[in-house]
Amino acid sequence: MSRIADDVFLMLLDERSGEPLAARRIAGLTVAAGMLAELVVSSCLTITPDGGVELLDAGWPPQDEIEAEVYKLIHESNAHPLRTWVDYLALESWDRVGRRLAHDDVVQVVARRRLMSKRIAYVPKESSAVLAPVVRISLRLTGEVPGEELTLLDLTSIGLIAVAGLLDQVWWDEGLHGRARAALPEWLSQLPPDHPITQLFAVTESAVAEAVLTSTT
Amino acid sequence: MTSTYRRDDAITSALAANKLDLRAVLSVVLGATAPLTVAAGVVATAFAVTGLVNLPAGFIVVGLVLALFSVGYVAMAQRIGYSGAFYSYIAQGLNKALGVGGAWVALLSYNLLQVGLYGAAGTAANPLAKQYLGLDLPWWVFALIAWAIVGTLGILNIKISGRVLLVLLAAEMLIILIYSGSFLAHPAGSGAALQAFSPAALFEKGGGALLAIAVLGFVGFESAVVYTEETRNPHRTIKTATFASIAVVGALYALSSWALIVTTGPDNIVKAAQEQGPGLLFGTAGEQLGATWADIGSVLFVTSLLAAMISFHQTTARYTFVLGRERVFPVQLGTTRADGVPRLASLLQTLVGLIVIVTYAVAGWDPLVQLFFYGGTSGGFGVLFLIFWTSIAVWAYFARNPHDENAWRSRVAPLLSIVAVAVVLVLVLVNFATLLGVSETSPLRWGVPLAFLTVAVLGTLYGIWLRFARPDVYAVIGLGPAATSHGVVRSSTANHAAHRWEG
Repeated sequence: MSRIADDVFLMLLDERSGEPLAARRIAGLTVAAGMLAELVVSSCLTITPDGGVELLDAGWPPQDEIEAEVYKLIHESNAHPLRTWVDYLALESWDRVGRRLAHDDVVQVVARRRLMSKRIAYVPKESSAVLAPVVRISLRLTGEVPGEELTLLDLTSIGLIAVAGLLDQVWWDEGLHGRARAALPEWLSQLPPDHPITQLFAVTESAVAEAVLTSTT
Repeated sequence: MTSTYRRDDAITSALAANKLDLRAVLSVVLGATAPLTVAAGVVATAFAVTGLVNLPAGFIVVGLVLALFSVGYVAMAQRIGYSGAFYSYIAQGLNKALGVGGAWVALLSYNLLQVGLYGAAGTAANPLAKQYLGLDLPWWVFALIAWAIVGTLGILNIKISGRVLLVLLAAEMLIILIYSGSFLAHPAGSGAALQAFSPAALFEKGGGALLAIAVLGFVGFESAVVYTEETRNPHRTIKTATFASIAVVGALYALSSWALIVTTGPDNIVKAAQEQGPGLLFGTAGEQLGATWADIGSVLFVTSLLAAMISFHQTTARYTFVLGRERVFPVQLGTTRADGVPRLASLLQTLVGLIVIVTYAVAGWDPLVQLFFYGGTSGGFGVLFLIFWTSIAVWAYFARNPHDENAWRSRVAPLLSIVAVAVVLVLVLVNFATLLGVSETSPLRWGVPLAFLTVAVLGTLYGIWLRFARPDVYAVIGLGPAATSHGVVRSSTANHAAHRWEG
């Protein structure tokens, strides 16, 4: 079963280099939001109207190791606004999710030596792994495959990519991609303004914009 | 309790470790002021065009006025969400429609400041190319080379390393201090020329022109607040960076302009500046310290110009980006590439630069006076105009939202700032002809101030139109990064099948 942060990671992964297609910080923020979104979708967490984060018992225990780790982290900390969590998780989100996908045998970890440093890359074992979320979500957005309905998980994954301004990395042709891009705004508008995912979109978009403005991408 | 403390300590520490300290913020702010560009380029051209010598007084007076302004400015920056641009203060303190007017004025001002530098770059590079490469090419060739470098760095998001900028900045400041020391040790026969510091002269005929030139020297001080969210201790760091940059800039320019007057003589400085332009600083240093010191300064002058051009290009592109995100401008301008570069905004500013260089080249207009000096001083006037409206906005904001801010920061300083900036603005307007070195009947004398007023009015009218025609866009004006698309994209289909996603 797909996971939001995994989908976001794979959609932003350069399948040849194993590096993110976006600036590191922007990719990190988007994946971090995906990690929090997983908790929202599994009813472990909700977002309060004032931008705070509230844990829910309904989804406990989280099924996934990262979800459990994030849940425990939030549980053991004082209240921080959602934005702080996105910023904090973004520090290591790319590598955390990369390692999860490596554990699931979707990518392999490759250490590359640079002149003065070492860089970790996550090279997909099969290129179809990178394309799978894009194709799945695109088909469901356009409704071209009967019986394949768009889920909240799908919408959240592509919504995070959209608010981070990264749709051009995911959709680049006029065919299926073009039709999916045209269909997306209508689907996004169906999320209520007070839905936790909508608030997550807003915070992610704001965080990315701020990174651009301060040149900290 | 202990484990909770340790967890929060870890989260706060981890986030703080990636934030900027005072040194980093200060180097970005001061780097944008490009000290040698002002000390060599602006100062000499100011003497030459205005015929006045009280520029040191102008730097000190403007420094004090901006310090007074910054009291309320920094206090408000720590209250409002987005503090990275003057227009956001005007929008949140006064009125969003006026904020749009302020945004248009800001874009015009920063563009003028940026493109004006191409005139200086072209003029400065020509003698160096002749001396070292044997090339004698028109100014616009070098201007276009500089334009290509700036445009390419902008679109490819190639950042000049913070360390490189810091080294260049330190080198520029050091060379200015070395030159100034030498100049003061070699006075002309007229002594210490302390009359150059007389503030009374700023109120005499033409004196106000020097205030606009002095404002130009300080542009960039306002950018420290952009980093409010990115610093470890924003209350202290941003306040210190803002006031420190004003103090350093003011002292440095007052000293260097005074030292140049002392060594050249107050009766000779205008003529010497008219004959030698920016070369006056380096030529005088060469005579006193040797050709090597002059050459070092000349090379640093070119790097200083490049740093300033890149800095203003980024400021303008990011301004355009924010306004695009808020949908005040076409939304495409508010997009970035995956690497975080506001691509279209950057290209637009690059195109503006090209149009200006080509226009001046074809028309045969003087690049130093009519592009660099006119562009720079007009841009400085625009920034002064913005500071005036922002000072009113700051006062109005605290009048409505006193919070727990003390009376000095929320009421007294903002009110005094309004008066002080108004005095400076009036003095500049009264002496605008002297500022540009034109007659009172020249179309530029009122043309430039009226152009800014027109832009402000048009922008405000557009803002009023947005209020009624696009209230969703109007609602997010001035919010900067907090202006998100979901509130704007969402329209008539907002409630359609909303139940599907509940639960």
